[in-house]
Amino acid sequence: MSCAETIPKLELMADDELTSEQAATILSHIDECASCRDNWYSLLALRQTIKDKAASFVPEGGFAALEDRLITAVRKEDWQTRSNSRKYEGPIRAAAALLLLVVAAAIYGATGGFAELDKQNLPLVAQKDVTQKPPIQVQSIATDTTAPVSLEDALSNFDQFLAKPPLVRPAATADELARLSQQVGFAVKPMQLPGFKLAGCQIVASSPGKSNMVRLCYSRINGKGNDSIMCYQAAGGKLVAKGLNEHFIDGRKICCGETQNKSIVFIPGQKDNSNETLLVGTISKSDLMDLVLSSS
Amino acid sequence: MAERHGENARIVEEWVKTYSKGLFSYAATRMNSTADAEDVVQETFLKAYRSIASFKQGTDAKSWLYQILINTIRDHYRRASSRAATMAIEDVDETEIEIRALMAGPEELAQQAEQTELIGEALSKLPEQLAAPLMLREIADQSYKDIATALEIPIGTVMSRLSRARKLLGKILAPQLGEIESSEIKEKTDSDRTLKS
Repeated sequence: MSCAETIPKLELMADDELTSEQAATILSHIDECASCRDNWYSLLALRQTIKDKAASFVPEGGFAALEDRLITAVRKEDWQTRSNSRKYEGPIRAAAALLLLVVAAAIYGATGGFAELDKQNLPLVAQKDVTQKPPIQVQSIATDTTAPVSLEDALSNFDQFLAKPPLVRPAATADELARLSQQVGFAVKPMQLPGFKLAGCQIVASSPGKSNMVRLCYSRINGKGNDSIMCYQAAGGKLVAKGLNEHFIDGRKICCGETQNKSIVFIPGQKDNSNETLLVGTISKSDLMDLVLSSS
Repeated sequence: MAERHGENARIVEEWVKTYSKGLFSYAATRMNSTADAEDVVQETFLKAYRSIASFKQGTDAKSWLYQILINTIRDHYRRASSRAATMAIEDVDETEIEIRALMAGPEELAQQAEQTELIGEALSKLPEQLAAPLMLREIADQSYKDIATALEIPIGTVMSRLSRARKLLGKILAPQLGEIESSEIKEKTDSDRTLKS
């Protein structure tokens, strides 16, 4: 084999694109030819340099941290997509129902059905029977003189919960939440935390003279056990969390901090007297913030 | 519908676990920046999630992801107008590629103390059509056939572009490669042969 035949095949050999017989022929020539041998070693050296360069790059915090960040981003995207799907699901169903009604009415009318009804002079169904149930009557807290609960109250409750978790229960239902809202006097608003399941909700008994909180228990199974997040809610102005770092995200104040392996995110109530919301979790602070920001 | 989305996210999460390291190495080497690489790799997986319906089950996810990554890097360069010196964004005529366009010049070149820095700079400025086949081969360890599929070019074109890319980089690195590494590799190869015989 000549040098002219060998040179173009050196790269194919380096790239494992030759059969063993073809490679053996090339190697045999390289043994005899110093020029081709130099070309071969230069090619190998170049390849090694590129591989070394690629291996020299390490993401911030290492590859495991990068993987976590990527998975969080995908979950956030997934959650947003699912939220959007749900947002349009209702109107689409309503439109479909309306269309069905119109078609049914047209068929009924065309077949003289309305005339029959008129003759029978049937009483109208009482409107209250067919409309939705009235919204939950939430008590006014204008006259509430109880003192607000604090971050420490919530953390203490969180520790007690982890020390002695209640029995596993099915996810909190809408009825359960509605009952709680009536009992505590403000509308409890569950958060959708991607990857976490709302496992239950309870009124947290606070010390005498202090306001009530509602505790929404979220959990997820990880490789080693469970991750838990408690979402404490209280009426506007009735939960105070001090000593946290303040952030303004999309014009909204969000505070966060951590203490003794617990992460804390506090979303103060807005001017419209909306709930004070405090989340305490066993996951990292950044993960908790990501969850809160991606929640609905 | 929601369940399907959840399933799609789980598939992409598996891809993250399997391929993120390789995609990051590719992007970081191509862009010569870990921060930019992290951004484009994240964008790649989000694009994969959004367009997973177009992914054919049973086909090679790795090739598909690299395809998305290459396009994402290309978009990144297009957006980054400040990187005007980079030639990587357009499909230039290969005959016009000159070493001096890739490197800063002999004086600056002499100042490059580290060989890896030199190759990093050269790889980040290599034209897209040459860089993609080379890096898919060397970093992603893809076969000619896989590269041809990912880049939608014939295998013959893969071979010729690989060869051109190596020649260009070989010339840039010749002063360093010729003397040091070649001899090290030669010694290693010779000793391997001795052991085999």
